[in-house]
Amino acid sequence: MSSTQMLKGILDGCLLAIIDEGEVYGYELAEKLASFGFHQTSEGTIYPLLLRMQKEKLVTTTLKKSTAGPRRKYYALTQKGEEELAAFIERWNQLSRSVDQIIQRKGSGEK
Amino acid sequence: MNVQPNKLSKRSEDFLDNLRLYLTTSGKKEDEIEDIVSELEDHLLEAEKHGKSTEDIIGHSPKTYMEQLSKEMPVDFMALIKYVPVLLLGVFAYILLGDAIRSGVKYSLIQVIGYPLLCLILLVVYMKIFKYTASMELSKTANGMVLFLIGCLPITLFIGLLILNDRVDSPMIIHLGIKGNIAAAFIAVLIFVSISIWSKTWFTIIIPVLLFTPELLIKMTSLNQEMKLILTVTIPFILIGIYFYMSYRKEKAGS
Repeated sequence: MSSTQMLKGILDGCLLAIIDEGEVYGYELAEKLASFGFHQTSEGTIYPLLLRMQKEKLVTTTLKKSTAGPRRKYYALTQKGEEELAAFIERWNQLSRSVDQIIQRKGSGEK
Repeated sequence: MNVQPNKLSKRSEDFLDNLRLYLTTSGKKEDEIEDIVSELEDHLLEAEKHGKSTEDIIGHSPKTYMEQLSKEMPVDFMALIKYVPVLLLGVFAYILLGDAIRSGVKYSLIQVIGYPLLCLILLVVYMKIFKYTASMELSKTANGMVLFLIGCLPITLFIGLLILNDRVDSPMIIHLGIKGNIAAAFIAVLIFVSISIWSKTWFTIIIPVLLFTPELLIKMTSLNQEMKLILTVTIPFILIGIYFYMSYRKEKAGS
């Protein structure tokens, strides 16, 4: 299994977490994601996900004037988005605990 | 060395143009298209300023990326509504041409009132349905069901009208002679050609040709009645099948 496949679903949660830190626009979001070590996917991957999150009302968008000229779309979490983020963190903690346990047992040579 | 500000590379420009076209032809809402295109334009601009390539942003298959975006955007059913009157006009021309060639154009009072009335009903119903589906977020299957029902509705209504016309006597008000029938056929052909020019496709010329020419040719042969009937029904379908298969192959080869 490639890491791209593993990333599906996890990326959603990560985007929510980054947006939760404060309003961001698309490029910034991609940069922050990359700064955490997500280099596996092309930057544009975030946009289909953001479109879906808008449709599901997890994020809201506001247009703001940017220094560069064109108006920029900024993303912020909605109440529903925050709930989804909390649920994701919960799911992730459980999952990572289980995965850790299995991998550590293997690593220590136990059967 | 300095890259001009606000100037995109040719590759990125092309990608954005193609994306806009792809989303438009997929029936997406215009303002939503502009939204995502300008957002990506902004992203590409900034990325290129930092020395990234187009591929770093959109991946190696622009087509796949466009599909991913398109999948998350709703279809704008209201924009499709402008095709409905044209579709109805096409159906009218089809009925007219068929009658002119076969038994001659003769319409009863029920038909003269019925056909336009049905078209009006269909138009209103379609507008309501489109508005409803646009505001709802339907699953793929639900969407398919709605489209299927939309497709069935006119056929059901027209068959209903035919049955009503058979059962109930109403005076004939239009009964065309030979000249009248030729004129009617001419009008029908004119409608097909106009729609073809308007839609910039050969579709509305090829389909009637495939439907009606075999019938005309078979009529002139000396085959027995039964054989004629069988051929008249089957040949157009086979021809249309071949036509669709060929245009499908062509489209596949083109992409």
